[in-house]
Amino acid sequence: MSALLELRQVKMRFGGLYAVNDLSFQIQPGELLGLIGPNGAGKTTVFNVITGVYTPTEGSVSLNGEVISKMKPYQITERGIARTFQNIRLFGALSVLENVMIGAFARHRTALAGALMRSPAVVLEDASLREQSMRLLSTFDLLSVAHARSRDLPYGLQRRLEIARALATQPKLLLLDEPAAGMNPQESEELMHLIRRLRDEMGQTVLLIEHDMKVVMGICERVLVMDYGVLIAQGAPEVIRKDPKVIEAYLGEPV
Amino acid sequence: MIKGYPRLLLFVLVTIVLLWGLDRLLFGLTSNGALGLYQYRVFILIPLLYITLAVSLNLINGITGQFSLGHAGFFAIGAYLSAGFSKFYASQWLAGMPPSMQGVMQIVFLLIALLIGGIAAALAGLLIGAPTLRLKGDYLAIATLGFGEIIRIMFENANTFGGPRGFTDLPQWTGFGFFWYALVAVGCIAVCRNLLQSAHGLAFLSVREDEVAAESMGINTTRYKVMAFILGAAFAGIAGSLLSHYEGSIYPNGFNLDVSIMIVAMVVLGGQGSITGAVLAGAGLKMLEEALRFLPEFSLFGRTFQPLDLRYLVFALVLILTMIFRQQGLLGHREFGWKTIGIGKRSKVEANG
Repeated sequence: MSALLELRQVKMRFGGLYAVNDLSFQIQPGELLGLIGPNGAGKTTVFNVITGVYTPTEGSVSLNGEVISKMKPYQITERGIARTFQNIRLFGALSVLENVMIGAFARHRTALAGALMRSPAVVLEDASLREQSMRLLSTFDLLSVAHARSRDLPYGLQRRLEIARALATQPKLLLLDEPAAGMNPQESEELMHLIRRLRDEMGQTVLLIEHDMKVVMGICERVLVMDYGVLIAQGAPEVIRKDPKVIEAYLGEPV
Repeated sequence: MIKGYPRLLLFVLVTIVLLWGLDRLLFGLTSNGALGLYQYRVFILIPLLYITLAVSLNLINGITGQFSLGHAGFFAIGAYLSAGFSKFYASQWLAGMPPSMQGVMQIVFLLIALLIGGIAAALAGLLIGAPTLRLKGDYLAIATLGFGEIIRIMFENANTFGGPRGFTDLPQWTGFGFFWYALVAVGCIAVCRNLLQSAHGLAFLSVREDEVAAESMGINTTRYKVMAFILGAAFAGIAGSLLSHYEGSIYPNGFNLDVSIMIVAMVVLGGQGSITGAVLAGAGLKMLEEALRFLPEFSLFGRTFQPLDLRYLVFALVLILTMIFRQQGLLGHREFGWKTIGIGKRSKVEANG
């Protein structure tokens, strides 16, 4: 089986500090993968390298065999990687529906000139983007707030909307940066089910960063552990939670 | 319900007929003295011009969130270059034509001149946009301010265009003026409205809201910023061509920083991103300015003041009051339309409010 995403000896240096050092791993299609590690281990930097926010100092990232590590973020999204952010970044003044439509717009085909004249092709495409977005909203149980301003949503819903918006770009790989952060136990329970469903029903490949071990150990089939920019362990959750190096660096005690 | 291109064509035709009718009506009113020519100019014509300027700047400042202080520069490029074409070339060609054709050809040349003004300004928008859009916020404002001043000073020193004495004896092909001024204003509003109704418009808005998130949603933010500058500049350029083809003479000082600031004030007052807000504030501020002329002069601290001299004080006051009592501007992000007053169903834009 060929890998969907492959990182090869990726190094990301900021001044004298290697935030990510010699990191290599692969993600297979359909996998649900967790990335854990203490604060400052370089997890979000890995996301930023994969999505093109940072260009790696050394090494390469490839998606389906195509090297993407020199591309701009929007080009990488076009090729099929979408993400959410650790500190939510919604389009605050726009409605929930509009947020998701902007995600769906990543797959648009009509030209801007057509939009200025409101050409039939644009009207048709708008209707289809809207319908697509409404379907996603219903999957995410956000239909009732479709026209609310996204800034006014409660925190849990904002996190869910961010995932819906990322999915609207029709990604091959979905990156979730601490999706359960700030959620209460019930909300994170619901989130777990949702992520599981994405994988099981839509075959969505997911890589997620999370500190909530219940979520990570509960849904991920494979877990990567980082510390000081280095991958210190990877494997099934049962293996990871017994790994002495992981316990020493992050978990503290067997969970 | 007619849809697609036939509908667009119908809209254009109806607009042309309606505006032409209004033009003739106003012409009648001014020729029998019911409406003074001066009042017509300052309360109808110039506000229409500023509606175009405010709505087009709203595309850059309000919708795409790029603070530009150089709109007078695009306005000037359109005015000067289109007038240059008409004065140095088109009017010579026109003079060599048989009289029976001159009427039609004058309209054709006017359309070409408007196009030249728009395209020249759009190119300037591309030129200024591409390198400066790496800048954000205040830095972009300063760079565009510099651009506007450079354009003005360039024309002030260009002898071909009359230099500081002004570019005069230009062909006045817009005639009575209302039809062309209104046509451009309606066109500019329609284009912006179409854009905002489509998902393409959301892409512009996303750049304003959060650039990092927009990029990660597959939006080429640089491209959209440059497109906003090109489109906004094009309409400012066309507005400039109208001015030079109505007034018959233009002066570098008519395109100074005060003009840029005034247009920015209109966008801020109307509500950043609201088209109808820009329309209301564009017309309103310009009318307010002219209304000041009619107030009597007064003495204060032993000095005599013309109320008009205090216009920038009044504008500043209006803006300060807006910032204190209504930071989002008169209309905020909302639009005022048929749906607001209960005709048709509520649109998505209002439902946000």
